[in-house]
Amino acid sequence: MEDSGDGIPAVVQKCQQIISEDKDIPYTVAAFKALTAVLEEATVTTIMELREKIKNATDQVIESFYEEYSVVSGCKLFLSTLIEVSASRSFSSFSSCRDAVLTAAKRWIEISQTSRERIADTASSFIQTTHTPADTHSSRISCEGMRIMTLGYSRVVLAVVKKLISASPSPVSLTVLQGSDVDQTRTLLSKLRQQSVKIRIITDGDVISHIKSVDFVLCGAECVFKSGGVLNRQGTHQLAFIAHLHSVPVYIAAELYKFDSSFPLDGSDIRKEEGKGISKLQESIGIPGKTREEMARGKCITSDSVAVGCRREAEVEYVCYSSDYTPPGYISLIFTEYGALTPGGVAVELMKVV
Amino acid sequence: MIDLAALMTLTGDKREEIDGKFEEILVTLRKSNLSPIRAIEIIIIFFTDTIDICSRATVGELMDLIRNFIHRIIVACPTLYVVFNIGHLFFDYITSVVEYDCSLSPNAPRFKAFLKKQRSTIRTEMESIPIEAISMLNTTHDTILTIGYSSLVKRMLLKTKDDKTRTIDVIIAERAPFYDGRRMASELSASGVSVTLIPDCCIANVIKRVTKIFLEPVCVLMDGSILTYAGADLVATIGHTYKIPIIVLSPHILFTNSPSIKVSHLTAPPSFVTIKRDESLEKLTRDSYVDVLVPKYTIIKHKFISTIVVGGYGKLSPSQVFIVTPK
Repeated sequence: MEDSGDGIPAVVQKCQQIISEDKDIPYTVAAFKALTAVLEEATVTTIMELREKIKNATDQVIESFYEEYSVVSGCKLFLSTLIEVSASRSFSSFSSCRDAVLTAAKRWIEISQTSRERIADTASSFIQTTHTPADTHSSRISCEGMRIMTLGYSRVVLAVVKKLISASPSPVSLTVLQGSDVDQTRTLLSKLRQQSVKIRIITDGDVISHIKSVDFVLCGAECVFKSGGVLNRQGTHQLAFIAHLHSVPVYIAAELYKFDSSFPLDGSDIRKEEGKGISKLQESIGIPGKTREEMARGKCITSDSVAVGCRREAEVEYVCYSSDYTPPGYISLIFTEYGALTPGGVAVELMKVV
Repeated sequence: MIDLAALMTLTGDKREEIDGKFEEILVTLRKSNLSPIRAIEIIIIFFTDTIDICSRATVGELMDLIRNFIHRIIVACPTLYVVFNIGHLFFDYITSVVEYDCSLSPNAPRFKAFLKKQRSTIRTEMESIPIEAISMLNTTHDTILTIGYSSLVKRMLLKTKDDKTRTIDVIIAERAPFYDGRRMASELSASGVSVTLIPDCCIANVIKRVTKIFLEPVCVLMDGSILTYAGADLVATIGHTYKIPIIVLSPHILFTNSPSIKVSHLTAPPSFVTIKRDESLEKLTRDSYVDVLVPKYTIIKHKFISTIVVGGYGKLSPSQVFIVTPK
């Protein structure tokens, strides 16, 4: 695989090509496929060269997709798995080692492609067992059905909800937090259009009034850390905090490739990006826009020409990050392809994978 | 309840005038962004106009008329409990100075003077409460959190902006979907106060830096709980969990002797709830399979509140509210 003349590495180009062909494919799975293609086309003759090749390609993908935490964590796991396979036993020849590494890579792709369905099965069977009474004639819970609260748009959560709708004998109702990114909420609603589910939208400020009326909170994750904490869209930490306060379980649905071996203590340990929708928000507020760089930094000088007696301008800083960190203490369970984990079990699972 | 047709004997040919004025008042009071203090001022002005119009009535007929209007205001705007306060104050004064069947005309000037005094008392408290609240701030640095638009908090911050001995960081939650927090941030910044505006979903992320939370109520209930705008309960819950003092600023006219209201009472009847659709919600809810529920008010229980700064009384704890509550 040769690099193109415009400076974009070939593996990154391959990855972008895969994404453009299939809009629904997770970026991480596309990265796995691109890296596997690098392995297949690599003209190397030694194990060290093979490792160097895959490491360089992985670094290029990570550098290109550094904003996507799931891609970064997935590629690191992918790389460490392949290196582990190549060093795990003594191979009779280089080709047998290469075949073993390729088999492991394809195994990763196969698992990752079916992750959502397997997580949906795991979560659905657990939730139905836990949140429906053994006596189906009981009128205390079954008449209201299963009540879920969520925020943002996650394909895994969508798969879990669809599975619950089809498998649960009782009706399912979904309470969705509006959040700061309305586009995600709109996408979730459009995906659930044809489903028989009652949907209610509430604002973030009103979550206190509704948290007691749900059975559990279900969210996705951009990244699951070794500590058991998760990184997800802005508002997840607050929702989990309120749910924890009111003894409502918080479930996270995340693929295995989103597991990261870092151990943040709190949100300040994690690099955050400014909210992508911030420039639109500044315009809607009526604050005159400055350069795109100033908008991206979240600072803008404002002057209200209507105010009487305005003497000087002052800053209005709009702080809105795209994601936040939820500590493990607020999370009840994490659903993965291999079952339900407690936050403390994430480290154990990571050791098995690596 | 007095029959409005009987107003013919009270006001002569000005029956339609008083009825029309009242309908205008109702339209104004139903406005979603009208503060309770402004509503009280409008009602006092209306009572003053009523006294002028009912010049040929007796004092008793005036009281019956005003009682009628108060009941109709409460039916139209159920959360304006404070209108009972001004009604009680006015009636107590009237009954203490004149008899029920006296003529209104010679007593009208002192009634109007009383109402004018109530207005000036409220305005004085609106000036004194921020000064009292400033005494609760740290002498060197504070980080203040509030949600939505609050005129008393705004006045307090404007009074502190020229104080060079202390620095105050202001964080305002925008309060979706009304976004009146943005208006507060815009007005404060135009006056020279630097603020940080955050969406409601970020409150838990910034709460660790906050040292004090300031809120303004719609009314203060008998047990020390407050009725306020939706979203404030989220701030109060998070602040209480992190042991941050929650300070309520309120003039005494907002204290009511209504019993504590359950939150469920705010969701029904529909007159308690207004559904405000902003542009983004409007796009989401064009289909009938989606409900949007946006209550306007909420209750914050007394256990979350540290101090209530009351005009004319200073600082009170929620358990001391009975001192100010009208009997």
